Amino acid sequence: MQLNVLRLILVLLAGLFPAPSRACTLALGSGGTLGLSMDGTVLGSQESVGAPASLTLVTGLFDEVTISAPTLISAPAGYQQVSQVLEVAYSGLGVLSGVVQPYTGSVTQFSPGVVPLSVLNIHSRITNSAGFAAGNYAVRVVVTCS
Amino acid sequence: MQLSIRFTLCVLAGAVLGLALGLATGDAEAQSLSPMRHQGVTPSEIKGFRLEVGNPYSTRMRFALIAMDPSFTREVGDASVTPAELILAPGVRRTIILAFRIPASQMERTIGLCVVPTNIEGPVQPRVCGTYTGTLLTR
Repeated sequence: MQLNVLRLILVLLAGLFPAPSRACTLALGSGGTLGLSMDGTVLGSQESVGAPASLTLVTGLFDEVTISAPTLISAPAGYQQVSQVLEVAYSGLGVLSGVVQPYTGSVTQFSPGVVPLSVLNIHSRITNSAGFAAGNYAVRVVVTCS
Repeated sequence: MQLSIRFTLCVLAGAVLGLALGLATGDAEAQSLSPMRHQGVTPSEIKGFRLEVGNPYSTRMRFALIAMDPSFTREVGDASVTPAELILAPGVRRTIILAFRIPASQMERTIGLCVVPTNIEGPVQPRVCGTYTGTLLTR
């Protein structure tokens, strides 16, 4: 009798839990802001008034997160792009605390495994020895969960 | 004594089932694309997949559904997603249909699908992408 009850519980549990590899959620918390360095050669989210973008993740067992190289999507006229270097860096919080990527200009990837809910902070920066013309700048980093 | 054991088992079963139901429901509501990977056979040259897109944000969101190559680097024109754009209330999920042609010479084709929020501005563009493989049924 007691064994039958336990078997019933196990069967119900097996049916109730969904396969962990079937879901991925990305939700952007804050978009991030770029600030100018004191010497005027770096525009980045870790400079004076800058702030990182914050992304909330829920991933399954086989999901992969890919962070693209940043691209410049808007800049004022007169800005010299020739000498610029675009880079992205990120680090995880909580369950993702082991995920740390220093600044890079390449595509990077990591497999978080089963992450119930965690946060990834993403920094981006433009380094340009020629400085920055006055105006608005925007970079774009594509984060893909697949 | 036996009655006490039965009562304890029932309480334990109730607690475990309650926890399981809570966890399973929470996971289902948090999905933004499900399933992420799938494959199936088709007797015709068109293969369709029924998928679910959900809104994990706390505000109403507009999502573009883009058919892409399996590495998610370029859009493919000969695949259809219905609807191609969705406006979803917070926590709401909706069924979409991805359909594409499989050339007879290929026998099998894999298509990517990316869900991209369109009303997000800023340096980070989040997207959730899945891959779906259709195989022609051999006779």
